[in-house]
Amino acid sequence: MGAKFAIVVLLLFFPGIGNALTLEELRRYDQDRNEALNKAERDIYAAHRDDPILAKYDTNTNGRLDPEELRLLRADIDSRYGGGKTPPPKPVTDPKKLFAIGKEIDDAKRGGIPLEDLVQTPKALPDECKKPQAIFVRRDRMDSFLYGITARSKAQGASISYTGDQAEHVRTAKINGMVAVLPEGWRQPCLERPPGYTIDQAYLSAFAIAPWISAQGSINDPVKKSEKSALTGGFDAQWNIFGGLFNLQAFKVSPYYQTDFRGVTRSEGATASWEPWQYAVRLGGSPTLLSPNFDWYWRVQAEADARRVDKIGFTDLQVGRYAWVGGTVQVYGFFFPTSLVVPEFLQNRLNAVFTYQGYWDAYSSQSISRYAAEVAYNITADGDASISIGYERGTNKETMTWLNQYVIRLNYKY
Amino acid sequence: MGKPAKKQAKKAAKKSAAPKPRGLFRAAHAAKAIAASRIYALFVSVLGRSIKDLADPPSDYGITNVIAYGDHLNHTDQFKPYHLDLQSNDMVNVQNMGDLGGAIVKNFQGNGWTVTAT
Repeated sequence: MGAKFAIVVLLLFFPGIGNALTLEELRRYDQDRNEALNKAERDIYAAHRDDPILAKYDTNTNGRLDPEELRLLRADIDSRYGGGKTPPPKPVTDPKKLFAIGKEIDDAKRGGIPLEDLVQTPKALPDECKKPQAIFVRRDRMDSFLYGITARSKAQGASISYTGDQAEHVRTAKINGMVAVLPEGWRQPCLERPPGYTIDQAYLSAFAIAPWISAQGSINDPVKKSEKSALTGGFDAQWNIFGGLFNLQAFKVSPYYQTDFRGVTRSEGATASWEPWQYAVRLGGSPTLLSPNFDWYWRVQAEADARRVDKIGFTDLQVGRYAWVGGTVQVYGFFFPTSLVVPEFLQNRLNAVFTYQGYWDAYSSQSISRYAAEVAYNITADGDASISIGYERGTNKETMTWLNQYVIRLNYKY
Repeated sequence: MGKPAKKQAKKAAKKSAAPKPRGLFRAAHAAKAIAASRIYALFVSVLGRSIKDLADPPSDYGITNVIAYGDHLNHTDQFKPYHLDLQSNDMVNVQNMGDLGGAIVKNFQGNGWTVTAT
C-alpha cells in the first residue's frame, strides 16, 4: 500500500514517468476520489469520450453544458466557423479503433490501469513483415527463427572482443555471431489456411530461404596451439506448420560448409531442426503472467547434424564422418517484470537463460553435452544492448572444445 | 378478369405478411453484436494483466511468437465459444498489442459479429 502511495505521489509530481496520461484523464471523472468510476461517473466519461466537444467545454465535468459553458462554446463556434454547425460523428468501424475504445471502457470500468502496469517505459518494435528486414545479426542460429518474427528484444546479439596481452605479447580477437541475408521474395510468411480446414487442423503457413554465415571462436597473434574457431556458411530453408498438436512448428534444413578463422579446416554437412510452440504449457512463450516478480517460459529445439571432415585445422573435429542427433532445451526467466518492490532500474531489465545441449553421434556412438547459465541486464529499455555474465561447461559441438569457463559479455543486436 | 386480380392481391398480401428470408437473416446477424470492451476484457483475461499501452510489443507480455499465439487464442476458454479463427496471415503483421487486438476484432467482424464501440 505504501509503495502504491509512493508511486501515486511520484506520478503526480513527475508525470513523465510511465504512461500516466490515461490515469490522469480518468481521475477527472473520479469525482468521489475512490480510485474507481461508478455508474454516474462512467456515463459522463462515456459521454465525453464520444463527444470531444462536450469533453472540452464541460469544464465542471457534470456531463452537460451549463449556460456559461454553452456561451463559451457558441462564442468559439461564431468566432471560428461563423455560426455554422459541425457534422455529426461517423460510426466507428475500424477494428483497431474499436479495440482501443474497448480498452478505454474496460479500463474505466475497472477504475483505470493498475499502477503496477504503468511504471515501465513502452518499447518499440520494427515492422518486420510489411517491410522485411534484409540483413540479420544475432549471437547464433538459435535466434534466427523465420528471420524477423522473433522479437529482437528477446534475441541474443552478436558479440566481439579484442584482448592485447602486453605481458605475454599476445593479441586475441574473439567473435560469436551470425549474419544472414534474405533477398526479397525468398520469404512468404502469409500463406492462408486451405479451404475446409478447421482451427484444429495443421497447415503450411510460411516459408523462408536465406544464406547465412556464422563465426564462433577466437584468433591469436602469434598463433596458439589452443586456438579454436569455426567459420561456417550455408543456406537456411525454413517452413512453418500452424495449428494441430502444437500452436506452431518451425522446421529448418541447412546445408553448410565449415572452415576456421585461418581457412585451414575443410568440412561440410547439413543440419535439420524442429522447434514447437505450445503456449498452454509455456513452451515458447508465457501466455499468462506468473507473478509481478517472476515470469518464465521454455524452448525446445531438436536437431540432426550430418558432417564430413577432410581437414581439422583449428578445430577439435576429427577427420571422418559424423551424424549428430540431439537438441537444445532453454529455460528463460524474467525478474520483476511488473514489480513495484524493486527500484525502477531493475524493473523488467533482468533476465536469465539456462541452456542444455545434448547430442549423440550415430557413427561413433559418442555422446557430448554442454550446459550454460547466463544472467543478463538490459542496458537499454528496448533490450538491444545488454551486459551478461555466464558460466558454461561441457563440449562445444561446433569446435569439439571442452569448456569450463565464466564469460562476461557486452551484447548488441540489430 | 376480376377473379385473377383478386387472387393476385390475396397472394401479394400473403407474401408481405410472411417473414422474408433476407429479413430473418439480417435480424439474426444483428443479434450477433458484441462490445469492443467485452473483447478487450476477454483478451486481458487471457493475458492475466492489463495492457499498459496498445503500442507495446507483444514480447513485453510474454508473447515471443505472435503467430503461435494466434492459434493459442483460438483454443482459449475465453475465445473458443466465439469461434475465433485467427490464422498465421492474420498475425504475421502484428507488431504491438493494438495490432493484436485489432486482429481479434477483425476476426470477430469477419465471422459476422457486429462489434460496437460501447
